[in-house]
Amino acid sequence: MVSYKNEIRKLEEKIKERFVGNEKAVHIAILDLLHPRSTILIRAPRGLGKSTLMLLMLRGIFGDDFVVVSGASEVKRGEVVGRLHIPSLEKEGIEKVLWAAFVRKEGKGLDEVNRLNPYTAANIYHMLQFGEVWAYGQRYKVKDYVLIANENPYDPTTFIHPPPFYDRFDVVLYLRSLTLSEKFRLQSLLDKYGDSLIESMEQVLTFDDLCEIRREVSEIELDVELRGTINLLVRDLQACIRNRDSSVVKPLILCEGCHFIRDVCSSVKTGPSERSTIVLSQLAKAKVWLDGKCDMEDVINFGKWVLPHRVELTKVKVIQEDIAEILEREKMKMREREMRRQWFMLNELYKKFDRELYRRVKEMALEDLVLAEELTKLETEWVKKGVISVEEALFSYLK
Amino acid sequence: MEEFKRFLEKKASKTSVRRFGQYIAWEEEEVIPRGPTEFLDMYYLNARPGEVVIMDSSVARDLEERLKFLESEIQKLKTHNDILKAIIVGLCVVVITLVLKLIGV
Repeated sequence: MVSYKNEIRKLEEKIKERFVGNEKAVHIAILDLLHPRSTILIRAPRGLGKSTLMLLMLRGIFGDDFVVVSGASEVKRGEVVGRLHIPSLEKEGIEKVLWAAFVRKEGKGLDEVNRLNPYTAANIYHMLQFGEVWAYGQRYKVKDYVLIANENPYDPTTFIHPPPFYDRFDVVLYLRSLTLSEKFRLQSLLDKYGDSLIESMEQVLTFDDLCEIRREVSEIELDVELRGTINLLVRDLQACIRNRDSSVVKPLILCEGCHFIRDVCSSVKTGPSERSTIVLSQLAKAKVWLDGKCDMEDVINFGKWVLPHRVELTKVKVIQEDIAEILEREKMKMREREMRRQWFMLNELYKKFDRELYRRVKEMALEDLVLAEELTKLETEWVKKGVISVEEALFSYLK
Repeated sequence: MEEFKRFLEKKASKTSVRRFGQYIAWEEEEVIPRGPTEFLDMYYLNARPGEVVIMDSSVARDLEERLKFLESEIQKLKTHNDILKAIIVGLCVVVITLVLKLIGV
């Protein structure tokens, strides 16, 4: 286990030796590799090293044995999924499919995803969703893989892919431009490696090693409190008392006159999917495996990479900064919840109804939608049992 | 559900409280108030307000004018509403009178 950890640390180190800046993004990418079918999306304007980072990571795991499909070229289905074997059709009348290297190889790269035509993107989406591809009525089951993609969303030739397509990417890494001192470092690197910066990247581990690591990581059990933090973070961004998901009117108009207008929910137009809970858990497990610990702060910080491509905000200036601000508010909110002892009181109410505790929790629930949701579930039972009346229940007030 | 209860129990076990029979007691920690919030940030940028919300005199004047304008609008609408109510009552009386005449009462 220790040697595997050292291999992963060495992989990160070797990448950082050749990739200047964006250290946090590289670390998140390393953590994301540690679960099956990992998918990473690198986003940045041109020339900031998207493709370099993608290739360094793929080379570090697969050596030369990986496939990169470029959206910038006129890539066709045959090159991404599979094509018909013409001799078999002509001689034997059999439709034999030659599956493309992209689906067969474990190391997959997608350069300039934003330029992929919608038809090819739909095939890749199917692969990410169901772990299989279809061509000429035949199916190919895709095994475990590493998929690293990149895109420049400001590119004028961008295809707008649907949000569910991006939701299939575990994390999105936004790269920033280099600071003055980092530019000096890059120059030194280029002097050292010349044109062979990527070629100089050695294969640090094999894909079999990575599969074994993924197995070890999957066996890690997360502490219930940490799982609670993950669920709370996602729920805080999903919850809407006015049922935003099925409402035609969207925030902020929907929020007008809402009791929770000042809460974080009013900043979110479309909340994150449940996939974000899964990815946050996978990253937390990977961190426990690699660094030995993962706390509430780490989980909330993971949100910076897991949420930007999964949520739609009501007002966007710079998505990464807006998400960071929301996460700061979340940290504060979680601390306040601890200070108010609201989980303790809710736990007591689960055991036994107590009018004074109920009154206090009800007051708190007026400032916390997630707590209100849980309290109203209890209230429904109490109303059925005749412990409280419908009129005094919180759900009557919040209607 | 069981997992959620486990989460609550774990949180509860970490909360410092004292039990005296059926009573539970704890010391309320002093909540450090958040710094003052600019009113415009709160209103337009959805900033979470602290204990104190501040605004400069021009914003206050603007707000005062808006309130006065809204109050005068309400007053105007209320007058319209009263007139419309009177018209409805009048029309009702006319309709009832006509109906009664038609019936021949």
